[in-house]
Amino acid sequence: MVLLQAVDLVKTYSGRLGGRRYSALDKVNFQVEQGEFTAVMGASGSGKTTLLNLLASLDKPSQGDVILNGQSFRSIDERRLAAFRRQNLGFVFQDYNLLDTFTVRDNILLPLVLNRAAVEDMEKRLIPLASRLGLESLLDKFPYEISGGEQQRTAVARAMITNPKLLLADEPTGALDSRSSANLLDIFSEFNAQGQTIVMVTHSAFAASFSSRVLFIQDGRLLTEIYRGDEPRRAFFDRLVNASSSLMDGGANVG
Amino acid sequence: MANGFYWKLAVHNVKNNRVMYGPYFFASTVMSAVYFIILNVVFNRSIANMSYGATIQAMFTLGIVVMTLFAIGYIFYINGFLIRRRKKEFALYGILGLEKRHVLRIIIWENVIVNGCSLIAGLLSGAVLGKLVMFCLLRVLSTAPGSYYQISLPALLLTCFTFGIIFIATTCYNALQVHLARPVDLLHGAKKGEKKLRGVIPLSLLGLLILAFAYILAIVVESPGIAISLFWPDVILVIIATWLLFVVGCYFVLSRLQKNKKFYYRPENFITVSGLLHRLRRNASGLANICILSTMVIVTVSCCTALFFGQESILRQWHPADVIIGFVDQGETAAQVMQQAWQLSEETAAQSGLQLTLVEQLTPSELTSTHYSGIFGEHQSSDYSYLAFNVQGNSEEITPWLANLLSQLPKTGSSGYIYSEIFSERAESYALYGGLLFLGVFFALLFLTNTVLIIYFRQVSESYDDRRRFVIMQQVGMDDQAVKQTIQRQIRTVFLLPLLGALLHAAAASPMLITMLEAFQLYNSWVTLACVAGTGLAFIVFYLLVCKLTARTCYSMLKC
Ligand SMILES: Nc1ncnc2c1ncn2[C@@H]1O[C@H](COP(=O)(O)OP(=O)(O)OP(=O)(O)O)[C@@H](O)[C@H]1O
Ligand SMILES: [Mg+2]
Repeated sequence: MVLLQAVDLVKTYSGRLGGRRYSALDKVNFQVEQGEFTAVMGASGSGKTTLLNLLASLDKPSQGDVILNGQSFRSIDERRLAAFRRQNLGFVFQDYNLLDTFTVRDNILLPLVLNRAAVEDMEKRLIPLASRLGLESLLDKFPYEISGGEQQRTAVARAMITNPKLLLADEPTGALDSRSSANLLDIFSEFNAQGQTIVMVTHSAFAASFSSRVLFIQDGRLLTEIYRGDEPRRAFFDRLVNASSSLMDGGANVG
Repeated sequence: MANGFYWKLAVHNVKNNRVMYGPYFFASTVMSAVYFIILNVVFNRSIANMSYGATIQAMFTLGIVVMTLFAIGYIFYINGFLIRRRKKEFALYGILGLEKRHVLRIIIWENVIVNGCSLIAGLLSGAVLGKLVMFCLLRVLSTAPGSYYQISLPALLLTCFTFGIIFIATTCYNALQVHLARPVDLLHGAKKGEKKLRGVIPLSLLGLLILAFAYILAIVVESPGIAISLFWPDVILVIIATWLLFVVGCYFVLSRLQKNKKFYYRPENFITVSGLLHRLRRNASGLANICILSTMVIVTVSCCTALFFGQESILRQWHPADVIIGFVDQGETAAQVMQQAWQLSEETAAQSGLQLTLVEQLTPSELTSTHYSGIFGEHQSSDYSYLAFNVQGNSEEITPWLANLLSQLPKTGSSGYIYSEIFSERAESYALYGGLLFLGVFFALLFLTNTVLIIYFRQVSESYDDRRRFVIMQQVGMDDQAVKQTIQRQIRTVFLLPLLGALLHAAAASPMLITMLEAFQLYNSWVTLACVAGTGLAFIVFYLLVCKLTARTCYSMLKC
């Protein structure tokens, strides 16, 4: 079943000076199946963040549409959009984006509170998720009291606590060292193995090698896609490195 | 490297940091202008020659001492605020390869630019506004033709000296800050975690107890003398209590709310409570300061206005009638003499265009009662008969007429007559209370400017952080409208708290003020109450206006 569909997505930015228009995305089309772990890979400035923000309904496309589970984003009223986002989507960002006024526990619970969930229900969801992400002992600390990797896991917990249809991640390992990166990506694979659909944007072949399918993007256009199949992760990684160096003149990062 | 380089960099920095430097500049300009004006009044010859001018000048000299202390404290406070915000920038210079002494040079240049400009602006506006101020002063004193505003060299030099010293001191402080810090510390310094508060419950209780004690003290004290000697200790108690309650009391209440899960985990409360907790912890001291300064403004202004508007009532305590003439009581002759004197008074008054009204019943026992006894001193008032009347008409005619009348009065017996009149004392009282009111309003304006600036700085630093939170909450799925509303609600609560505190303090202080003003013979407590209430109302309006305006300007500034 197709969960997510990007239809002819175009995003143009008008330049600040003189109004020269710059097109960050140019007719992007793709589909994501239910339960797929898709990575979007591309060099810096290729339009990855722009794409993800459109998929996340955080920004509006200049042309085209995004369809999630049969529902077109364009048809959703501006006022309902926030509620739609919090019920269907989960996000993880490069710089964690945790609120420093909340403890780890409250950061994770934030979307549930906004959904007016019952307090007992919150506890029921929080405990297993926190233990899976290794956050049990950190629940009462504040974001500035824990490490970057822990902050990112908190952000993942916050994204996952509503059981979103789609988990979106923008460069989630961008600020992490290789060990916490691998740890986080393992968690993603685990979630995916249990049926979670994930779209992750990254410039690193290492991160992308955890996914089941990789889309290459350059200058706002999708170039090609590579499926992992039954390949082990190492072999897939090598294939991705080769593909990206031939596709993008070595633009992608091996690390 | 050429000096011009640092100069340019400094100018650039000042321009870039105008959101922060602007108010700093404004504050020190206002401060030096006020200082300069007051000094000019103190050194003014024409005021010294005025009747009771010496009283006014003595009062203003006291004011200068208070001002100096205040200026030092306040300028250091905002300077510290500025420097803390800019630490990261200095660290960046260090990382980019500027040595500390180079950074120092930049800082010194910046300080020279900002402080030099503000001193010049202060002196200029002091010179210009001084004329206006002097005009108002003379109006309030309702005396002194021939006094004029004069800029005196000593005043100029003293102002430059005082502010020069303060500026040098702040520059040294900033230099020390840069010198002591290492780049690594600087980079991490901006985002330091909050320490866990210890002893929240006992400290909150202590704060409450102290406040209750101070309030009860203010309410129960009955003798004016004791009230005056207890005033400052009481003020200090209130200040301590305010600090404690803002720093730990609010924390205590909010963390209690947070523990109540059913209450806390609802969308409306969740963000508000934790946001408030965060804000209050970071701003507690600033809010306590706003509360204390506001209380000072309200109390100062209401005392001064009460004395000014109550001075008629004060004068009447001593003078039941404008003029009282006492003749030795010797049976029927006294009555005759009084009749004569009354006729004479009326005739001469008519010639000067004045109208007299006889005050009928003024018994000797009334005059010997507590308040009036001072006037007739050692004279046994039961031996006298009194002629008492009020005077209406052109006030300039009154003094010559009275002198003339007194020289013509018939005498009885050997001792002649005794008299008292209200006019010369009224003039003195205007000089005293008018000057006091003037000074009070001046200080109130100063306190207000500073309160406003603290509010402004708070808002600026808050809104930097707010923008980030705003974005995150939208990403998590809160709609714009809701985010804006919760943030505004928090800001409103945070700034209303000091206002409420100040009003409560002022209300609790008013019994004490009434008692204290009795030492000045102001027995009409309604005047005092009306002045406290009026000042409070005016202050509420002003405060709310300021919060609205600063919030708007700083949000619009940050957006572009
Ligand atoms: N708000 C904006 N206004 C104008 N141009 C923008 C804006 N946001 C992005 N761009 C431009 O669009 C292009 C794509 O930006 P985007 O942020 O999507 O890149 P990216 O692939 O995420 O890069 P990186 O890996 O460095 O994060 C860039 O060239 C950028 O300059
Ligand atoms: Mg990006």
